[in-house]
Formats: sequence, structure tokens, C-alpha cells
Amino acid sequence: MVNATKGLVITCDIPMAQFIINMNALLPASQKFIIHVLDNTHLFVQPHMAEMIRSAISDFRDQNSYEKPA
Amino acid sequence: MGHGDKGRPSKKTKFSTKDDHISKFVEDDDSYYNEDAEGDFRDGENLEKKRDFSKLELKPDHLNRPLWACADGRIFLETFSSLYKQAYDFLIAIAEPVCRPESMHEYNLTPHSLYAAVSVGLETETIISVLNKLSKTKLPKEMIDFIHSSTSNYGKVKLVLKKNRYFVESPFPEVLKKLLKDEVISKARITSEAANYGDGFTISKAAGEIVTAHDGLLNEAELAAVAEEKETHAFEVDPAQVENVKQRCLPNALNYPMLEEYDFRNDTVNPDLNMELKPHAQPRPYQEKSLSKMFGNGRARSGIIVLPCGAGKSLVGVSAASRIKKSCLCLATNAVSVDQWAFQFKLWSTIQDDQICRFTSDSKERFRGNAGVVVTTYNMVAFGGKRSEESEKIIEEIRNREWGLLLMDEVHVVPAHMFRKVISITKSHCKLGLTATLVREDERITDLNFLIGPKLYEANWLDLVKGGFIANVQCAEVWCPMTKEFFAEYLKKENSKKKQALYVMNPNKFRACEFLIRFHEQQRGDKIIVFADNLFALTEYAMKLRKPMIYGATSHVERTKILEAFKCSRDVNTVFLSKVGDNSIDIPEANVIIQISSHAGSRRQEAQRLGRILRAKGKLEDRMAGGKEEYNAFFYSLVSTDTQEMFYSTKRQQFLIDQGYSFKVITSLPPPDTGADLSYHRLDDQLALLSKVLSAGDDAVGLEQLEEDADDIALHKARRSMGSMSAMSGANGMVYMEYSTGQKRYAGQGQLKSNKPKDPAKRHHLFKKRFG
Repeated sequence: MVNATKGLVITCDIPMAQFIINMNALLPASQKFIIHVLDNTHLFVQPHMAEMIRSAISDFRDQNSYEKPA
Repeated sequence: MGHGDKGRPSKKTKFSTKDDHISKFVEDDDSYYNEDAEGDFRDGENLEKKRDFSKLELKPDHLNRPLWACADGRIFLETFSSLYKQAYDFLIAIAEPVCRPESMHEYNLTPHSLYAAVSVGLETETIISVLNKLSKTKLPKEMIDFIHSSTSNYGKVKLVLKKNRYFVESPFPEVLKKLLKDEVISKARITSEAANYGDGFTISKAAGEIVTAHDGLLNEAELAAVAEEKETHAFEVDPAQVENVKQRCLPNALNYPMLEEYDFRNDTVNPDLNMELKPHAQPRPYQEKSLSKMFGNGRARSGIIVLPCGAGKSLVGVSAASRIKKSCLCLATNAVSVDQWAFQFKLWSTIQDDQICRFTSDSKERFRGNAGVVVTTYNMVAFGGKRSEESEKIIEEIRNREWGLLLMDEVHVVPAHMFRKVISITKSHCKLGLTATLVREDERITDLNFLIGPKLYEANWLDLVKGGFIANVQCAEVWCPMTKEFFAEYLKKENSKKKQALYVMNPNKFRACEFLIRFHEQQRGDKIIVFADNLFALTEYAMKLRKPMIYGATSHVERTKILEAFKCSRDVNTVFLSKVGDNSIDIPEANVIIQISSHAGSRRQEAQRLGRILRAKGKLEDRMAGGKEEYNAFFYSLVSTDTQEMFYSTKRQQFLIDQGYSFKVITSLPPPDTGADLSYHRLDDQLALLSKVLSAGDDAVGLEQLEEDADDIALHKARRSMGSMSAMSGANGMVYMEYSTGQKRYAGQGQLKSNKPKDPAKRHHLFKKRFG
């Protein structure tokens, strides 16, 4: 019996995949969103999480980039 | 011209047709801002007003003029203008350089920079008229007013050192009275004898003693001042308070900046020192220029000269000393550079061996005769504890002597507390500070204005590169992606303290480093310095690659041995340095720097490290643009992407970018085909390394703390780290920890903050017996 799940495939580089996995791991069990880790650079996640992942990543990147004060 | 037409019709007629593109640009901007300003965000409006330059009036022949002057004090200089050289010399005297890339420089007029300008002899009217001549636009009224108000009070007050006592002098008694109304200054005043003078005020009269032999070099204003100086009013101030008094007189407080000049030729009290520059010492044009700023009117001014590392700061220092020809106290940061300074003095000047002496913890020499040069460290002079009898005698001598010149190397370290003490202890007629990097993360750099004096000269790095005086460095930032396992650990909250160790030990970074070392050693035959602030990483890298390393705990003997081998031996081409190598260790042979870890976001460190390879090498013609090797020095900064290091790395580069350097980003190092040639190719090795990093104690992976490390505030300010509650409370899965309390130290740990042996006095009395 085949079970079909609707989801979202994320393609990213290795560190970012780790970032998302880590993000997933910190959430309580009920909110976990990764359905399957396909390989180092591909993840299969719940479809509604796209925005949240995007904003978390952009926050993370902002933290690591320096902007010259005017 | 379209919608811009509603602007100023009168102005438009002034433009010739060929200027139309400029006027259009200006007008367009204008209308854009107008529309925007009508909107409801009011704070944005202010900002836009500042950037709205449409009110500036272009002169008809603006094409021939090199600079733009804006009402907010900013000045932009076109470096491709034919008048660039003249304009640059002038601007550097009156304004503070903000950013100097290749074709457009930005300067800023500040009260301090104008103070420096007048102190090198420029008059208010000259400043305004020259600026007006050079400017493409009519000088904004605000700028003229600003220059007037900043310079009007200049030169009315003098600080004079006479027979080991400090006096504040002025021909205008009302100015002195005004100064004395200030709490700080009146407290600092010494009123022992002043009461004897009965002219109602407690202002003592010192009748004209300075006016004797002035040569024709003086300009009119000074002649006028001299005429009045027959009646000089003065009061004495406490030597310990001089610094505060000077600070109160600066433009941002009372606005009577003090003039500190030393008329050394007419100083008959202090004995002369017989030293001349040797004929082979040929100062380069920019060294000449900086000296002429210092000795502008036949007297010596206190101030700071900023030259990049390797551009010959020591020759400037020695030249200054041999012009003043009085006793000179030369301060350096450590024992190694004391030796280097003593050597430089002997190399460039005719000073006798018995007239120069070094005063460090290892060598306590004393000079014979009544004048000489003493080279010592800031630490030795400022040291507060008990000294040996011998050094106590020498320090007493230093304290009691009137020095003609106080020469301070690496002056950017001076603002730290103990270094300020030095200035209050030693009494000198004239102070000259030398540095390459006038930046500090704690913004205490402005203190130097009253501690030493205004900035007299600052060289443009790129001009020196073009002239072939310093090496042409290719700067590169190498991006090393984190490996999967390391990044997973990096993200875990319980590893927040080990973040640094994790991104420094990133196997990809290691491989990039190894690749670069191999490439430069084998293909180019270069000499390489690898910098790592993190001791854990330093030892790991050096051991794995089998290279010598130097860090805080390395003994002087061993250091000398390693450096000697690095200089002479063909087999030792790479040396690993911790941050002890940042300043002053002179390694002229090196031409490649690889930086694997660094002191957070310290711009100064970045520039100092670059300075290690700036000394020009090879033949001049090869180095010029288009020559055999356009770049002959390389500066690599290895950065693990997606980590905090990216933040720091960009911040660190700001100073160099402001000097006009650009960083090339390299993303594919090592090349994918290197494979197993380099270490940590196999996953097993990487995992072994990872577990080693994780099992190392938190203190072992921390930063090295050096005693003279005065700038560590940079770290606290810039650090952003996340920590978990459990890690903070120590309940981080750790049941117990072992502490070693004895003197035993782990090899390779240097002076770590948390690893100090316990002070026996603080032990519980029950245990005192046992250990005592």
C-alpha cells in the first residue's frame, strides 16, 4: 500500500541543511516539520513551513554579516 | 531637463552646455528628494537633507578643480585630478581621512583636524582661501563658519616645561582667568609662589623671556604674538594633572587648545647630544614631508605621525631625535623592539655606543655623560610594583630628567591606562608618536589628541604602494564551507563556548591552509607566516603540519632561534605565530600571511598583521605596475562560511578597505582534485578531529591572553553569542570537573585567564601550612 504525503523538497548546501535539521530538532515533537532527510543537500518537509524556514535562515545570515555603521 | 525645471533658473544659466549632464543629475536628485520629503517619515528627511547637495554652486571651471566641499564638513577629492598631489597634501593637513579608495577620497573636517592644521602653521584665512581655490563648488557658508569658530581660539594658550615644572602661559590674562574658572584646571593649579605677586589676581607675571632670537621663518601671526609675549602671564600646574588640563582645553570643552612647541635651538638649559644623521640615511619624500610638518617653524611640535608598517617609521623617529639633539627617551612595546630601536639608532645616526642604552628587564644599561638616548618599554616605565634596586635608580633618573624628545612607537597602544601613566611620569618638551593604525575598537583614540598632540601627518597607503615604498599586497578572503559534522556541532546550543574552536578547526579550512602553504613554499619559494589567535588551533595546526610555532609562553631564546631559522634556513619557510607576532616582531623576509583565526572584529589587528609583510622586497622596477610581479605579497584570511567568523572578518577588513585595499573572495580552495594529498580527507580523520575539539576543555579552546593586551574590549563589544541556561549554570551534562591547583601547567596553554595558579595568600588558613 503506497502512502502519499504532500510536501516540499528543499535543495540547499550542506551547512544550511544542517541548520534546518537543527531547527527541526529544537522543536517539540508535535511541531517537527521534516518528513524525510533525503541526503546531504535535500530535505523533504511539510509544505507550510517554507516561509518560516526562509525567515529563520535570513535571520541567521544577518547575524553573521557585518554592516558598516553609517 | 524636464521636471527639474522648477528649481533655480538663476543657477542654470551658470552652466555651460557641456555641464548639462551634471546639472541634470543634481536637479533630478533634488526633485526626487522633494517628493520624498513630503511623505510622512520625518527622520528620513533629515538624512536626505544632509545628502542633498543641490544647493552647492558649481564654479564655471570646476573641471580643473579637484574637490567637492559639502556643508556638513565632508570633502571629496578626485585622485585623478592633475592637482591631486597638492590638494592631497593640503587636505591631509586640515581634515581627517575617512576612506581612501583608488579614485575618490573622502575627508572630514573636524575641530580636531583643524586644530592640527593650525598647529602646523596654517592660518584660518589660508585654510579658507586654499580650500575655496581647490573646490569645484563655492564653499558653503556653514563650512566657512565652522572653520572660523574652530580655529579662532588657537594659539592663545601655551603649555611650557621649564626646569621640570609645567606652566600654562598666555599673553592674555583674561584667557587664563577664563581657564581658571574651570574646576579641573583650578584644581590642577599649584599656587605656592603665585601669592607673592600682588596684582590682585593670582596670575603670576613672567616677563618676556621667549622673545630673543627668532628667525625669519615666523609668519605674521606669530610675530604679532611674539610682540605681545613680552608680558606673558603664566600659572603652574601639577605635573600629574597636565593631561586633564590639556583635555579641558580641547575644542570639545573650553576650546582653547594648547600649543606645545619646543624651541630646542634656544634651549640652553638642557645639554646637547652630539648626534647627526649618517649621510647614507636618505629620508624618502614622505618621511621628509612628515618631518617638515613636525619642524615647521624651527621648533619642534608634539604630535603623531601615521605611516604604514614597513614604510620606515624608525628613520622618521631617529631623524627627529637627531634634529632636536637633546636627550631622547624612546618607548617601544616589548623587549624585541627595544633591541630593534637601539639598532636603528646606531644604524642611521652617528650616536656613540655609550650614549645609547637599553632599559629592559634583561638589560639595564646606563649612559655616561649628561645627554643620551634611552630605549625602554612602556611596561618598564609604568610598572607600579616593587623594582630591583638597580632599575629603581634608573627609573628615578628617567623621572627627574627633562627629556628633549619623547619618542613613542606603536602609539595606538598608549591610551590604555598604564601607558597614560608613562606620559605623566616622564617630563618631555616634545612628544612624537608613531603608528600605522590609528584605530581602536574602544574609540579611545581621540584621547591621543591631548595625551600627545594632533596628528601631524598621515600617509596614503596606495600612494606609497605606487611609489614602490611598500609591498603591493594582494588581499584575499578564502571562504571555507563548514563540513556537515562540524556545522551540526556548531549549531548545538551546548557548544556555544566552543563555537570559535569549531569554526577554526573546520577541516576544510585546514585543507585550504595546507594547500596554500604547499603552493607558496613549493611553487613560489615564499616565506609564510600563519597567524592563529586560538592556541588550541595553533598547536593543532603546527603539530599536524610539522612547523615551528611561537606563542606567549615561548621563551625569548627559543623565539630568537625560530626566527633566525626562518630568516636563514631554506628548510624553514613557514612559521606559526599567535598574536604575540602582531606587533613589532620584525620579519622582513616573510611575504605571505595566512590568517586562520583572529581577535574578533579588531580592525587594528588586521592592519598590523598585514603590516608584517608590507616591507618592500625585490627590485623596484619589478614591483611597479606592469613589472614582472605586480603583486609580491599575499594576505589570506581563511573564513568558515555561515559562522560568526564572517561577521568579524568583514568588520576587521574595514580599516584596510578605508585605506583603499580590496579583498578578493576565493571560494574554491583547495581545488577539488587535490583529494587525499591533504590532511583530513577521510571522514574518519575529520570525526577524530571533531571529537578532539569537543573533548578539549572550554578554557583550552579559548583565546590567548597576553599581559600587554590592552584592546580586548573589542571582543566584548562585538561578540554575539548564544548560550543556554544549563551551560551557564554549569549543569551542562558535566557531573564533576578536575581542577589542578598546583603550579603544573598543561603544555601549550600559554597564559590562559582561567589557569592562573592560586594566590597562596588567599588559601584557607588550614591549607596554608600544608602548602607553605
